[in-house]
Parts: sequence; structure tokens; C-alpha cells
Amino acid sequence: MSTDAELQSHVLRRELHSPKSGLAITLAVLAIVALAWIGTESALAALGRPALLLSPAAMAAGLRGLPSVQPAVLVAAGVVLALIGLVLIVASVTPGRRGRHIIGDGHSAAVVDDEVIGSALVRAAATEAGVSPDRAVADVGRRSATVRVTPVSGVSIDRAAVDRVVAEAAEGFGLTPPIRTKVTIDKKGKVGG
Amino acid sequence: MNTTNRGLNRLFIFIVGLLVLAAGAVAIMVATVPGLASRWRGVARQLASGAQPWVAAPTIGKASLLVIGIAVVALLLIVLLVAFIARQGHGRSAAALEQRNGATSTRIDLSIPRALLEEHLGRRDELVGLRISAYEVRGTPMLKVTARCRRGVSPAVVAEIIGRAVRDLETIVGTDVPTFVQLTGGFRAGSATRPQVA
Repeated sequence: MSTDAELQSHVLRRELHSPKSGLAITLAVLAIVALAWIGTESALAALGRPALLLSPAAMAAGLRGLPSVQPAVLVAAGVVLALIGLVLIVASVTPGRRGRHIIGDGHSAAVVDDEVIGSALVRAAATEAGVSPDRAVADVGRRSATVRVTPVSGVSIDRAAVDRVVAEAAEGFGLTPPIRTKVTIDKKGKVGG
Repeated sequence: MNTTNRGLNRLFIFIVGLLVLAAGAVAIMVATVPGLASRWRGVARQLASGAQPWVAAPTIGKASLLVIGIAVVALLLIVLLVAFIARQGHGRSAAALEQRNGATSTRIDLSIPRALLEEHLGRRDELVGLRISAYEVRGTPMLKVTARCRRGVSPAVVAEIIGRAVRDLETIVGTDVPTFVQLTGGFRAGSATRPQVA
């Protein structure tokens, strides 16, 4: 048994990072398909039935004949394989942060999806700018967020005021890590709405 | 909150990545390193001509012992991989709380906090959905509250509402209830209809 605080930080750490289950399961399924194929070809060969694609003997011959493949083709295939391998190795060691922030006073462990933060910032910005929430979009990162507002044609928006309201809103959320906000107003407005 | 073995996932991805990288490196080297191609051919010819009976001689049908061995290994690996996939997730608990103090132990079923929290939070305007579950984390049951927020509401307000509900729950059951709260969106459906003023 661990203490509540340890339990909380353990759960928060896990919830802020990806378990990489999707990638692991995909790779496992591909490996299963490949192994099943090899197993099936072996069994068919044992039964003396024709191969599905390649008999084990043909596979071995293909491996022996690797150098007779055109060098350009071999290099191209090798580079593709090496790149895929590198991507997988990188994926296996990077933290894989999820788009989430810790929120609240810490009584309960609580996280909020960045999507929710963005939508609340959009609401704050749109209300202050006097436009519909559909005319503002927010992009929330780990330590910063950008809100882009498209004004109604001919109606100017006080960028400084929107900026202040959005910054206050973000501060009021009590996020960990805190996010800096930035507001941009599109130069060209849109008619209506 | 589930009991997915994340270290194992990463190790598996790393090993597959290493194997794929090695295969790619071999292909590139055979094509580019001078002399390697001829050496490869030589070794291959040697292996093919001087093959041991268990490699080349058909024992069952046209399959040699080597082929049968490979098939058995493939089958074993498939079983392991299926077990690996089935191992993902899990860890749900039917109890929301379990405390042992010497001879006595207290267990609170998930249905109690579920009923109380749904009663408490179900009618809040800020939420469009609520899911109460429990997971066993390191041997301790932990309550999980997943709340879908209405578009545009402040997450701080929702966190405060849920925090208050959890504190009320703790007052009712008379002990701390380890809780994890997750606020999600899911606003794909677009915004609510907005009054149009012409």
C-alpha cells in the first residue's frame, strides 16, 4: 500500500503520458500476421501442398540471392526499413505527452484535456471581442496557447482587451504547468455573423 | 489508470524497431560495401551445398526439421503476442474504497459513490456527460470521475464542482476517497444553436 500522495502522483504521471498501447498492438498484430504466414507456409510444405505465396525453400533461396538484387532497389528498401526502425526506436524512448494539463488544488488528482482549455479560452476571447465562438480557434500546447479571432468585416476588435481577458482566464484555470497565452486577430474579417 | 505494462510496451516497440533497423542496415550494406555481396554469395553457397540433413532433408512432406522448428517457434511467438495484446488495459475494480485497520476492514462498493456523484452532478449544466468507475492502482482502489464538459465552460469551474462533490462524498462515507478526475471535451458535434438576429 502506498500513501495517497504517492498514489496521486503515480496516476497523474501515467495519465499525462501515452501508454503507447496503440503502436504496440499494431506492431504485435503485424508480427502475428507475418508469423502466421510463415507458419502456414511451413505447414503446407510439411503436408506437401502448394505454397500460398512462397515455399520455405523459396524463402531461403530469396535470402541467399539477396546480393543479386539491383543495388539501387536494395538501398532504397534498406533506407525505408532503417527509417521505420529509427522512428520506432524514437517512439519507444520519447515521453509521449498527451494533450492534458493538471488542474485544481490537488485534493483530488485531476487532469483536463487541452481541448477543454482551448474551448474555454475561445469562449472568453469571443465574448470579449463580440464575435461568435465559431469565429475563434485556440491552439493549446504544453506551456502556451494561441487564440486566433476572425473579426466581422468593418468591426474592429481591441486586441489588447481580448489579450488581457484570455490571459486572465488562463491564469484562473490553475493549470500545471501554467500556459502563456497569445491572441492574434485576423487582418481580413468575414461578412456577417 | 489501467494496469497496462507501459515499460513492456516500450521495450516491445524498441525491440521491433531495432530488428527493422538492423534489416534495413543489412540491405544497405550488402548493396554498398564492396566485397560483402560476394562474401554473402559464398557463405550462402557453402551453406546450401554442405547443408546438414536437419536443414535440407525433408522429414515430413517437403519440410525439413528446420522448417518445422521455425513453424513451432512462429506458433509460440504468436501465442506470446496474443497474450501481450490481451494484457493491455484492465485493472477495473468493483470496490471504490478498501481499508484495512488491523482486524476490521471496510469496503465500499463502486455503486455507492456512483449513485451519490451522479445524483449530485447529474443535473449540472456545465456537464454533458459523467462516467464513474474505479480502478485498482498499486493494490489500492481509486475512484475515477470522467466528466465531459459543455463547450466553452471554464475547466476550473467544473473541477471545483466535482471537487466539492467528492468532498461531500467523503463526508458521507466518513473517510478520504482517493479520486482521479478527468475533464474531457468531445466537441466534434459543433456549437449549440445560436440565436440569429437579423
